[in-house]
Amino acid sequence: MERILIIDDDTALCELLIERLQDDEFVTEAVHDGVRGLERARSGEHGLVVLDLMLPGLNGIEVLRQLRHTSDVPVLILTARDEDVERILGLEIGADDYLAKPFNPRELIARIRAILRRSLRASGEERPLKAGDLQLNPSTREAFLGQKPLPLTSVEFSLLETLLHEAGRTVSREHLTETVLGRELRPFDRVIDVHVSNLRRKLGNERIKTVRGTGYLLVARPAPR
Amino acid sequence: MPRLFVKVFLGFWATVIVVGIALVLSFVFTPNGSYLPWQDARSTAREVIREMDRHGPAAAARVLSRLERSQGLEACLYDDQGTPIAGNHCGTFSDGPMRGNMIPDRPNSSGMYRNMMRLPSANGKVYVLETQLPWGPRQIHHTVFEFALHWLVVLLVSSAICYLLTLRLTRPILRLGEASRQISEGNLQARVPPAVEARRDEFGDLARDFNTMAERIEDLLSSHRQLISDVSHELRSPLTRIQLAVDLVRKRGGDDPALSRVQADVERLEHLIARLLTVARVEAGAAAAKWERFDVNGLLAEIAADAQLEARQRECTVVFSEAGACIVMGDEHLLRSALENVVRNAVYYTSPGTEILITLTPGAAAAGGMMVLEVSDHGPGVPESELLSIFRPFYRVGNARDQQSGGAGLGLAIASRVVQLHRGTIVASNRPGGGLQVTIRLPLAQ
Repeated sequence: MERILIIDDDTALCELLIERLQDDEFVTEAVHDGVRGLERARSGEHGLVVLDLMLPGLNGIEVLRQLRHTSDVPVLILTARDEDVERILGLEIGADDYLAKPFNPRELIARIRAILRRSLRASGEERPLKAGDLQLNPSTREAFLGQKPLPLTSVEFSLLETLLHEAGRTVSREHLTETVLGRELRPFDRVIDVHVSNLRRKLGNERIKTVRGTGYLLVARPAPR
Repeated sequence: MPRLFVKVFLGFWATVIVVGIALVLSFVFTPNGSYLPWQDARSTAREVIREMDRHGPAAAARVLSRLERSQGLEACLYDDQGTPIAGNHCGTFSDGPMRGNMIPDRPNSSGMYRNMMRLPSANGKVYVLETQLPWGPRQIHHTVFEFALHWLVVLLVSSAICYLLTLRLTRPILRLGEASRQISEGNLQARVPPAVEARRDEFGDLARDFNTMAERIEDLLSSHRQLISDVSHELRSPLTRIQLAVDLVRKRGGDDPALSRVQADVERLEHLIARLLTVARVEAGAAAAKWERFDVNGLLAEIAADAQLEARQRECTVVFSEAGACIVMGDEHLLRSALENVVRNAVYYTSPGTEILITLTPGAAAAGGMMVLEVSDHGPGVPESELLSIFRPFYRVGNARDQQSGGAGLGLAIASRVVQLHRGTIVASNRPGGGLQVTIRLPLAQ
């Protein structure tokens, strides 16, 4: 089973989490400060990092920022604060999903599974996807805009893949959340929107249109000749 | 241009111009003569006599004519017998050349300066030069162009000085006004610029006091926010641990119904904390609200879509009647939480399988420019006597509707505060067919 790294300064919580995750056959390691957490997360030994945003030493946002320079290991952020800004910032920097404390442990496990499932799916062999000047290579998880490679995170790749499959048609937020994040869309859940806006920024040129109250739509542009 | 600036500037300018006019008038209406020109008179006389000696009377007359043109001086040259030799005005000196010495440099009875000089010439002859300055404005000799130019210069110089003076006086006030406006619009970092602070007058004092005050407000608000954030963290950490522990016990076969109770209470506590924090944030936010224009219709479309997800679990439908763009001036974040609370409240209380109606009407600009938002549910409603109280924090309606409620009784209280902050009104009423209708009116942006 995949190894999971927990970075949280609440040692009692970490003990409980390790115990609980063990029941679901996850091998878990816990670290209690940001500096050490970053070091361990970079080691590449883990399939997923659960990162609390409030950490002594180096705070969670900074850990994530530095981690993303070298590694694209999936990250699930935890936060006990009520600030939307922090969650959104975390997602923008490259976290896959977030969970607010206090959380239902089953929910945590479901999200961990969903993220792992997506990153494992990467190995599945598929034909390249094309729409206009956009090209995706699901087997290598590489994306190209024209001739230029697009640096996408794993979530963004899945998101673009889903939108490309349905290029020119509106894809609902529910469907996107289910296929990309592997879970149900909750009321007042903005995770998918943040990922879409990250992707939109990378693609530029208003390729992804918002269909208000419904979902998103990818506009295919013809490849330049 | 700021009104104060215009007022002060015009005040100054008018004063300067009136004083200028008064000065000019006082010169105009006094005789042109003064002591000083008579000092020159002696050298003038010498020049006339020299011309007389060298080139004769015609040359002397030319000098005198030139003098008259340039200075308005009327003169007549006599020999020492009192016979006129040169000059255009010899006839006006009706009393003939006055013998003797200088007469006093004072106007005579008709307000005219007269002077008579006896001077010997280089070749030994003695001449008498009699001069007079006619009464009246010297400007008469100036052309209209010169006159206009003089006044233009006066106006330009005086307006430039007044402009600078006014700027110096009004700028600190405008800067102070600017800073306080920014703070009230939510930019707590706004300060009066150091240039004003550095002044060593009452404006400087005021600016320093203002900045100290602004700093204190900023500190208070940020420590308030820090406190909210810390409390949130401190309360939620143990809750997270309790949830995990309960789940562990359950997982290991503990199927005691008491565990479900613990679980439910933990969720209730979390709900309460979230709402309390929202109240605290609304309070802090009211002081730091970010005012901007945004579309309520778009905001409601998002809220309705979210509410639809929530409603689906209870087999209810959210019906949103759009109204086109409804631009309101306010804090989008605060208004979102307010409207969200009202809509979620409706979703919570409506009977299973029913509809929640959200209707937005942009009011006519004539009717005070208010948009009207109605959120109606098909639930049990609220007793008439308690329609006002439901907007109070922690108020619980005393009927069955609330028995199973997990709400903390804060949603409508939050909504009410936010709506009031936006100078709107919020009213609850019972629908004729049963159910509660909440009506929110908000002023549209100008």
